[in-house]
Amino acid sequence: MATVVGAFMFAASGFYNVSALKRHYVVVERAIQFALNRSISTHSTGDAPNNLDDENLIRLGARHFQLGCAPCHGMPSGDGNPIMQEMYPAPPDLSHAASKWDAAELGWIIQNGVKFTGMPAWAGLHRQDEIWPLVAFLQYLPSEEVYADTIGGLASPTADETTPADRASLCVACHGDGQRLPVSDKVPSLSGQTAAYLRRSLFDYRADRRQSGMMEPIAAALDDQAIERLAAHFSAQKVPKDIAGTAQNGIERGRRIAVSGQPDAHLPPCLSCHGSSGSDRFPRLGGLSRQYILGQLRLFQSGVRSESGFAAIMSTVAQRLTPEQMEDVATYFAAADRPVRETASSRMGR
Amino acid sequence: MMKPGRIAAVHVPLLVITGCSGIQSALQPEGREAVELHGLLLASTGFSAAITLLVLALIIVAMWGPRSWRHRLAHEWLIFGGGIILPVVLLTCLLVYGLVTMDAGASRAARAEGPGITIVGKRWWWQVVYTSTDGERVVSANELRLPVGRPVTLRLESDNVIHSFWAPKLAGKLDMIPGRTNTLTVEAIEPSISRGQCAEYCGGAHALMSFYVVAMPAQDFDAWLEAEAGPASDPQNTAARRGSQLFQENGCGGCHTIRGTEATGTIGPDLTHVGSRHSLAAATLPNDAQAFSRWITNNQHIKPDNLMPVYQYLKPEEVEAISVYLEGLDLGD
Repeated sequence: MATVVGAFMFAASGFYNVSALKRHYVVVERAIQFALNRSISTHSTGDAPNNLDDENLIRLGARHFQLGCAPCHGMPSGDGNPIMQEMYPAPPDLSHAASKWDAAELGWIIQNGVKFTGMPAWAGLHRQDEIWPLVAFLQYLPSEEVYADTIGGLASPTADETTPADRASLCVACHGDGQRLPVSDKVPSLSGQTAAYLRRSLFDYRADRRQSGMMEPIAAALDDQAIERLAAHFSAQKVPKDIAGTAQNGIERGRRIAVSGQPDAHLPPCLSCHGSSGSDRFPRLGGLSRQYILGQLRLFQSGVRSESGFAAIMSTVAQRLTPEQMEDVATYFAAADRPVRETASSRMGR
Repeated sequence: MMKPGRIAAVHVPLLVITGCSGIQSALQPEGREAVELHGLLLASTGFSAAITLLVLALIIVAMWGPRSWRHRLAHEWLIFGGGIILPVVLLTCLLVYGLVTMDAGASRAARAEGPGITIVGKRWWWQVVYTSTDGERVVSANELRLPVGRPVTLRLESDNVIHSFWAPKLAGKLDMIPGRTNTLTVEAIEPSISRGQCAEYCGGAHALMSFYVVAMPAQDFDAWLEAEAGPASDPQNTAARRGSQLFQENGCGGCHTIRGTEATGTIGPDLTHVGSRHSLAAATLPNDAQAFSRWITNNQHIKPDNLMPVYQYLKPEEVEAISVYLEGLDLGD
């Protein structure tokens, strides 16, 4: 009791100095470090995927690292931002993070954040799948020259970029454009997608109706006009020619589901909405990467992507797919051409 | 006897309001089976009531009657007569009556005319498949039309769990069991509209799995079937045309068929002539544009866990256009 009263008196006196300049005593710092290490080690019980050396993960991780991590932690090749380095505790240089933490621990830290340190939790709720590209990148990090190579050519957008083409450079860095493929097979190509769908996606990310720790911060910085311009910009592009995946087993099975569905499993044909006669509101799936389609189907099935009116419908349908069917469908669409969109004017002309 | 035109004009909700007086009452039979079952019900109830009264009377006499009466009741003949002979005779009579009634059903099954009608229990609605004079399958839903005076074989099936088909004014219940076909022969004896119900618990929305039975004069039925077999009517006005376009664009045809259009889905009810039916959603909602709108945007609230997703992203005017289109898919009556 006396201890509680004493602690209260101490806090009430205001004697304790919360200045970030005033460091903890070494012994206190050690104690905090110990508690933090033990806590992370105890809580990171999940398994890391075993494909963390996949280039698709590493390259995507590198892109997000530059936008989401480097502002505080600094680029591996250089010093961190001087403002952020005056935080206490200062965001650590992550060049050797992978030698301190194992993959599961890194994943846990990125997803959960760390109390009282300024490390935020992941902005995309339940998007564990987005964590692993970063972990993959961190494990890859110590080699700096490769990092420069991985990051290569990523233009930082500046405030004075006003034309859609300039503003789009940030998007292109990950999503590619009419000529370039996306940086990773986890990332959808936006070229030739319907403008209505691109617009809705950005609005949904911005309003937190669609979860993604990568896309939400980007969409949050866009105003309505910018979203309209970007949507129009990318929908007008041609789909890069070589984006279609190579033929694999399952294309025919996937095609049957896409064209005819499976009525006895209450599964409607994908193309009844996503086909060329479907509304512009629905995305065209042809030419999207297999991994991206599969990843999104899993998010729909688990309900992570089900908040918007559209996603709720797709979530209902995805729950009727078996894991094998999801793979088949993704394989089919990855190899399929993106259908030519009928515009409102061409429809009127018929 | 009501004229068929008059029947068609009867507003269903009105009938529902007067529900207890008989739209779904086995006590007011309108089918041959139901009439016979009704007779069996009355006879066995009458027998039981008479026996109960007799036993009560004997108990009263035995306890409080005059000494001479009580003395008479103490004889052994009462045990033999009332305890063995009487039950054997009466129960045999009832059994024979019951067997005769059942055999009447069997002989009617042999007299059944035409190709019959297949009814498949779904989650939670009824697919009703007629066969046209050309031998084509004519798929409809949630309403059974019957020709008066013709015994018709109903083939009862299910592609999910066990349901039970019960049209109380027509006949008794019969289960719909996955993997097999149960047959029930029914014969409507007068033109009428009645209501039926799934009678085997089949999941959350079981209580909302109902249907209407429309018995019509035989020649009217033939004319109706010919019309029903035809393609959907074209949208009649701008709103309906817009609705038709929205129906296709938004993928509705992935689950629903509207014959004569691109919509060929088989997961949900066939909507070719949905506007001509007496109800929506298996006798859950009235059949009007407002009910279509409610169903499209809010069906999981109306019938929880049904297989149709909720279309909340559609703008109100789009929902309205689709509803106008669907309501207009009638047979021109």
